[in-house]
Amino acid sequence: MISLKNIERFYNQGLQKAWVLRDISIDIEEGSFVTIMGPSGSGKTTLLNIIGMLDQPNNGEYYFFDEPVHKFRERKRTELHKHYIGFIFQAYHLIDDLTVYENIETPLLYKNVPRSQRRAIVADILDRFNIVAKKDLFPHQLSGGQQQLVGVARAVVGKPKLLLADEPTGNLHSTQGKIIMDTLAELHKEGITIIQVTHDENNIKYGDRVIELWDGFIKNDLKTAEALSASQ
Amino acid sequence: MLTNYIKLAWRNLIRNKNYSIINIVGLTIGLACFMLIMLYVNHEWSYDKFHGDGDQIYRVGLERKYPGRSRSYAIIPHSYGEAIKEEISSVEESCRLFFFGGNNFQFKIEDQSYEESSFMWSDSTFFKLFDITLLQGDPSQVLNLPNQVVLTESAARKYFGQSDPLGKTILPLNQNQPLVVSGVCDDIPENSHFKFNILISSSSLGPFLQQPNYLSFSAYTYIKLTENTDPEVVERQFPDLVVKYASGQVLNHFGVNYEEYQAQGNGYRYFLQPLYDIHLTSNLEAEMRVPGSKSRVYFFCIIAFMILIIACINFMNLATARSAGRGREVGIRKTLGSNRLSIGAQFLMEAILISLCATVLAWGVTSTVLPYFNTLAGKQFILQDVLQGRFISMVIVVALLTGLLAGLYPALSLSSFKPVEVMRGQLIHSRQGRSVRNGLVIFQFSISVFLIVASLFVYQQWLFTQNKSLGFEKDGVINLNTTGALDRIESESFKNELLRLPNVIAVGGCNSQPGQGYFGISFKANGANEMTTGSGLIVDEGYIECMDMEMVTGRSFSKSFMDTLSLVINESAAREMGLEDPVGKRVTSSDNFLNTVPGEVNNYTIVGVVKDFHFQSLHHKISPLFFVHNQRSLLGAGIDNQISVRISSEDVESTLASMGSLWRSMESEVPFSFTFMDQEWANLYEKEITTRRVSSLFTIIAIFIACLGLLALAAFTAEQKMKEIGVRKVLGASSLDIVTMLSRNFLKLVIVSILIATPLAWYAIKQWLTNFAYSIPMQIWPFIIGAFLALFIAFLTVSIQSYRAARISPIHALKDE
Ligand SMILES: Nc1ncnc2c1ncn2[C@@H]1O[C@H](COP(=O)(O)OP(=O)(O)O)[C@@H](O)[C@H]1O
Ligand SMILES: [Mg+2]
Repeated sequence: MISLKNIERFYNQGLQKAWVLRDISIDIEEGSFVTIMGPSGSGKTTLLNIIGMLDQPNNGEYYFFDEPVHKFRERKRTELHKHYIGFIFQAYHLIDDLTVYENIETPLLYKNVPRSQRRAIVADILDRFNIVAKKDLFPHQLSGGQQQLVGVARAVVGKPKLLLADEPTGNLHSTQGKIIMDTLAELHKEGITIIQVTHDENNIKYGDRVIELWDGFIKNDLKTAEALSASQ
Repeated sequence: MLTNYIKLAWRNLIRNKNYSIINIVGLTIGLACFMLIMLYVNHEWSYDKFHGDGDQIYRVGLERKYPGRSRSYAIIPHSYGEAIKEEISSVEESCRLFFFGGNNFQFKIEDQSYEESSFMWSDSTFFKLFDITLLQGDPSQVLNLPNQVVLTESAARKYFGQSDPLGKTILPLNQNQPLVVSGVCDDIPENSHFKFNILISSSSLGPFLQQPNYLSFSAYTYIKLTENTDPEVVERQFPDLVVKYASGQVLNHFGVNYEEYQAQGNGYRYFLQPLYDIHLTSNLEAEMRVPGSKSRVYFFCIIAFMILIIACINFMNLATARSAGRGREVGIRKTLGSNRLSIGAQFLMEAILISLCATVLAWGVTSTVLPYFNTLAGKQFILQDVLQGRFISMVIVVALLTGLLAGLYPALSLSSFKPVEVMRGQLIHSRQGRSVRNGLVIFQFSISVFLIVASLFVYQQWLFTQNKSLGFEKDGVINLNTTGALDRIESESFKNELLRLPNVIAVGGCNSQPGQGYFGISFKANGANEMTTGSGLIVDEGYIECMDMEMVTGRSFSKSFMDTLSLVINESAAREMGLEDPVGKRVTSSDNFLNTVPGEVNNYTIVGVVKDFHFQSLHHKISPLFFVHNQRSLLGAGIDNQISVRISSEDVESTLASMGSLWRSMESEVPFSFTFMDQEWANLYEKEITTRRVSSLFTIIAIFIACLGLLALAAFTAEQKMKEIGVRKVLGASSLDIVTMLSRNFLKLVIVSILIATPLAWYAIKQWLTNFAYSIPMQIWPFIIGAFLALFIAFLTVSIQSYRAARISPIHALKDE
């Protein structure tokens, strides 16, 4: 599904290059659940953004379903992104002025889904995530865990093939975090591909593969079981 | 502490450079406009205030009543001046001025010919009543005798150079009696409702003043009341005076006693006008100078304040909008122990500092644009006017008030932040703050829409007055000021010679032109029992044709008839006299100032009716007009005061040149002088031109400042919504989606503004149009244009900002710090 070849990303700082990602080559199959780990500043978010087509590498090739994303113009990338990818953020990033219902509805608006269908899809999702009672509340009226649940609902409402989660439980305490992770696991079971960034060792077990970044390089790329035994 | 505030305020200005610039630019322009308008308004208010005892001085005005209507005059019968002073004890002094507009005074000093356009006659009490300093001569002597004149300082210098003018003589043309200079006085200030360079003793006017006259109006009559006299008490004594003095003459002239005369609906009501109020409030017939207008002064004041308020609103909006950023600062300061007062003071200081900066800049701007403003407003302000202590102190007060106004709300709102809430980020999206901002934006744009619509109407009305058919053709007419210098035979041959010139189409003689003012005259149709008063005009046989006036029935004056006692009237006169079929009807006049043979009965026959034409500006309704043949000229049979020449548009220069040499061949002592009729007519609308120019300029400025604010607010909103924009882009929004989202709210505000401004503008414009006797109808399209223009400008302003925001990459927007 995803194939990265020799991806490099740097920022120009004065005359020097500040390297963020170097020589990243990864293949990810459809239906897998990948965890990206690494210390702060190691380039996890940047990698996620590149995979999510929000950011472009300076060098290297990126194939998404065998399509050469690195050759596409912005408009085309935006289209791909819009139809295939859902995002979950550490800080939830719900829109303050919109209700829960409206937040979840937004991606469908941009996909020009007709109104009646939208209503059905959103109702379905609300029901599924058990937040029907909250649909008319504004984000600041919800707890962090509830907000992130809405964030997940919003990310999957458009039926993406790939779900990208950047430290989705980073701002939550463990019980709330567990609910989110269980939800992701369930989504994964239904066939969605997930890439998560996390610091929390507990979250590793939900995935099937762990990629560890260190200063922009891939330090380890292991199956989850191997990774867990290695760290013990 | 204060220096600390200033230091912090200054740092804040520097740190938020863009906002500071927008604030300062907006306030600078606003304050500069305010200063300029205040200069103008101050000047208008200052009229006649230089007369020390001016609060005791009044002008006597007259409301002349006719059955079913009345007209009010600034001039009254000349004998009342004396009568009032004698009969009413609280009248300390009286003074009459005589002024006949439209004429030039031509005279010789030694062998040199001169022409003076600004001159009056006055009683000897002039310098007792008015605070004009007499530089040379004895105040109680200067105007005592016939043929004495007082010159203003600059007139003395102009005519006599360095030599002492006292005792020198001036020889008026067409007169044998020389005038002797008996005094020199200060120049009349520009802000005076009367103006002269030469003041002639009223006794020089000749025998006409010796005849008692309580009926026909000629004198501007001023009285000075003793201190603390209620003018109403004086006014209440006037009716008895009228009965006492005028009733005899009424009986003589109209053949009825005064009571009966009044019962018919006629009468004379005299009233007092405070000297200080004449310029702005009086708009009577026969004013000496074009009066000002209180409503225009108010209108300009309102514009000035509106612009200033718009600029202040920018400041408030930007300050509170930025409260998200500043809120954190407030929170931290409060946790450090700062109280609300000192935080409020800090913000207020910032506002005042900005407004003071803007004031200094505005001062510079005002001084720089002063010459342009002068052309625009038709005034002569100089740098000293801006440097006057009074003006400076007013400006400083306004600057401080502006700072307070602009800073108070932000100071109150920002200093009320609770640290805990700020830290939790709750107030950052304060709904209350946003709705106040929305309200203020609506206010700004309501003003802008109002001004756009109003300017469109002012402009339309102006076009209308310019293009409305006047009933005669003013273009292509040249008026020669012959001032009766040619006698009957010379005049006849001069006119014939003119007609022979290649590009001359028509020639006509007259005593006055449309727009210059006509004399008053009354006629009574045979069998009618009341007089019809109207304007009189003396013309020759060629004039009506020359002006392209249209005859409705009958004929105009003609050489083939003996027309000395013929009369041509306009439609209004026929209507007012109640004549269905006027031609051939006989009418009599009681006015005997035309050169009548003593004892002759003034029986005239109407020979034709001219279609109503506008002989006054469109402020005035067309009133009755009587054309008298020039055999009965005020100056003598067959003598013309002015000669109108219609020329073809080709080769105007050479036509003028040949007319000039033709005039000189007549060997008259009067220099060749002419005016273009269309230009003179345009001068009648001078005030409208000023209003139009000033209102459109300040409208543009108001909109500019409002847009400046909108620009900053849009930029701010975009900045504040950066995260939301980022999220939406991640969720699949295109740039267009983002622009729409950001612009929509602002456009909603503008639409609300349009809804508010439209009815207000409708009402105000309807009121304004009633000032004109002839005006454009209320129309829809200026409102539509105004609405679209406001929407368009606002959209342009906002979308530029929104587009920039929409282009930003979401990963920058969403970076968690
Ligand atoms: N716009 C940028 N300009 C310069 N450096 C950046 C920019 N964005 C990220 N970086 C740098 O890239 C590195 C990796 O960042 P990031 O991918 O966010 O790390 P992580 O998510 O692993 O904490 C960091 O050192 C950061 O300072
Ligand atoms: Mg990160």
